[in-house]
Amino acid sequence: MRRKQISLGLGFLLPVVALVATVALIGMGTNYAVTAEAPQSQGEASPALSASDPTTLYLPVITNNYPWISPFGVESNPLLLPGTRLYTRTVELGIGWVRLNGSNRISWRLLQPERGGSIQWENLANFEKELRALKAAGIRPIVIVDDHPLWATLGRTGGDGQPSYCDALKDDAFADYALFLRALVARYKSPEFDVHDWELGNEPDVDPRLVPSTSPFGCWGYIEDPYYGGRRYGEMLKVVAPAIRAEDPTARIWIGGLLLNSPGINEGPGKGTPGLFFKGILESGAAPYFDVVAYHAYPTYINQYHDYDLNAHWWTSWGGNTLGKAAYLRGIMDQYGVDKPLFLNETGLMCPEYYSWCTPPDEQFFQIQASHVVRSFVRGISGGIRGFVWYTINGPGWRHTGLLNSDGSPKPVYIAYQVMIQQLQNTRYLGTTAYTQGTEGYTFRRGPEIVDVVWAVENRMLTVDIPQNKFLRALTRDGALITPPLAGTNYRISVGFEPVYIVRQP
Amino acid sequence: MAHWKRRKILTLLAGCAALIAVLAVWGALEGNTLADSGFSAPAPAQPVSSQLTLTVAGPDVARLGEVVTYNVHFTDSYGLGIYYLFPAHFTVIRTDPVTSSSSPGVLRWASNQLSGRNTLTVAGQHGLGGCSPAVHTAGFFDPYDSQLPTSSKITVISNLQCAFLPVTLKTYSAGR
Repeated sequence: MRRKQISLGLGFLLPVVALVATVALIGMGTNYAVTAEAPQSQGEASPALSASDPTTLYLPVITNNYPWISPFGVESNPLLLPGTRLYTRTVELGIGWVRLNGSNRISWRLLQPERGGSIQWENLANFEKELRALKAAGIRPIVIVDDHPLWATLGRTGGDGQPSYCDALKDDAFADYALFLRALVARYKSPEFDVHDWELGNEPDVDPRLVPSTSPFGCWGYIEDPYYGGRRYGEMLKVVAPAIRAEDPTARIWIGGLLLNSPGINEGPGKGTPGLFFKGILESGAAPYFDVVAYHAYPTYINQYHDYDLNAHWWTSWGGNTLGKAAYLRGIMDQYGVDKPLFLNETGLMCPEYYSWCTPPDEQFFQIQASHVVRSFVRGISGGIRGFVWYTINGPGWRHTGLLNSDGSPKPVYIAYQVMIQQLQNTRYLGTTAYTQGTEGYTFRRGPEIVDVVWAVENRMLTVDIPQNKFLRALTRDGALITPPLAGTNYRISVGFEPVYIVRQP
Repeated sequence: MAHWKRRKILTLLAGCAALIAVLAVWGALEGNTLADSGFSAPAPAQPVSSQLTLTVAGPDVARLGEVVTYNVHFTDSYGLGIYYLFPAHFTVIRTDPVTSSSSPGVLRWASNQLSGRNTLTVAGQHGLGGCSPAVHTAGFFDPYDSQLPTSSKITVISNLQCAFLPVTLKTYSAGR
């Protein structure tokens, strides 16, 4: 009897253990194979099956959108160290990604000031604490490698006339860069840190003459070049990518998030054609040497109540900042037969201080900003964009883009972002939703539930009706439960510029 | 070679030369026009309540070779840079403050070169090269905002005479 109980217990446990192990492997990003060691009796080697003959079993696993990989993220200027309010707020947001940039993190210039010199790992003690803390919170880091030592650059100057630290690398420094990157990857691929996403530069499609010499973005750009310097960046990728992949075959190489100011047009004298930088990368034949195409979008608030994602200056006719830039990049990839995932890895609705309505911004700005994060990110999901990084979590942030205030308290945009992440957790995008004319809606599925995210295109109030027998619940943009009135057999829900979440049965 | 044949070839050569001359003149004029026009992009809609103000002041009329000065007055740069577009036939003699950041036809000052200032100065001479009035344009620049204010000053070059030569082209057919 006792033996039978044990046997039954194993019969139940073994598939579970196998399933857990397989799911764990999926979660680690490895392949789906499970290698089983052949059993050996104590002290007796089997002549037919030795330990050197592993057998590979493929276990079928069915998962329901699990593990869900959150496409949402933030960037933080200060280090996200455990015990700080900033770290706590970051974790509470529920994001899946954090983008890490700045000279307090990976600065090639500061870490290897002498060519061929040893890397000064001791400078990274706090950065490594940050990595461990992010790992503990289940947040994936995207690590940017920039800030070049002058011995490795072309020697161009920034807008202030000083040697530029973000200048493009010269040809004979590509190999040095590859060695440096390989050392980074070797150190941080370990389970202790689990870094597998490496972004090479930040907004490289900027000419160094347009920014200060110490700029944290730029500067592979070259105004006079027909591809704005993109081919040089591509040549660099061809040298460094093999080194990164040799060290960590699971590493993902990200193109430095493109500022992508305009869609391949000549912006005029002294400005050139920055939109062709990405095309230059592909022109150089570097497509096999990167994995993710990252781009940025920063609409400017001009004191009007409209959709800042769609009203996007150069990008309006393309479909706006989020989808329009994606369409443009995909169009270029199509020309070269390339298909890479897109990631909007820096964005925010900004309110520059040179506008009177931004000193300081009024409540209208913060409300529009809060709606903007939902409208643009949900729209982005519908367009197959793989992820989104809001710049920044720390507040008040550059041009008031921060999710938090300077005292760490949440702004409306933080609340809206947090609610959206909660509402879309474990969902799968299904398609657009046609409700009342004048609304824009997107449908997601989570198990037996449907989650619709709906808003009015213009700043006006509309209503949508949900059959009473399908309605489960509805929430405001900020997470408050809506108690809709009955209109016949339907619940009638008011929808304005602020998105709402309608959870219903299919 | 028959006389009529030689005449036809000469006519052809003359026609080609005339065409090249016309194209060269057209190209030069067009080049100057483009250079003078500032941006080729559509004029951005500028928000009306920007705290950024900027004007370019300079002579309404100047003579070829005369040293002229243009001043860019601005209220505050708010951490932005300023660029200055000048015509292709304008030779910059000096700027204040000095800037090392330039491209053909463009000068730039970074934000840290502008702090504490309200004026930029560009001195130079207009030379031969274009028929249209000289246009000097200044504007704030910021990689993240394409809708910042700009200002232009038009200067007529008084002793510049442009003559448009009539050219008659004769088509030549190789057919019989």
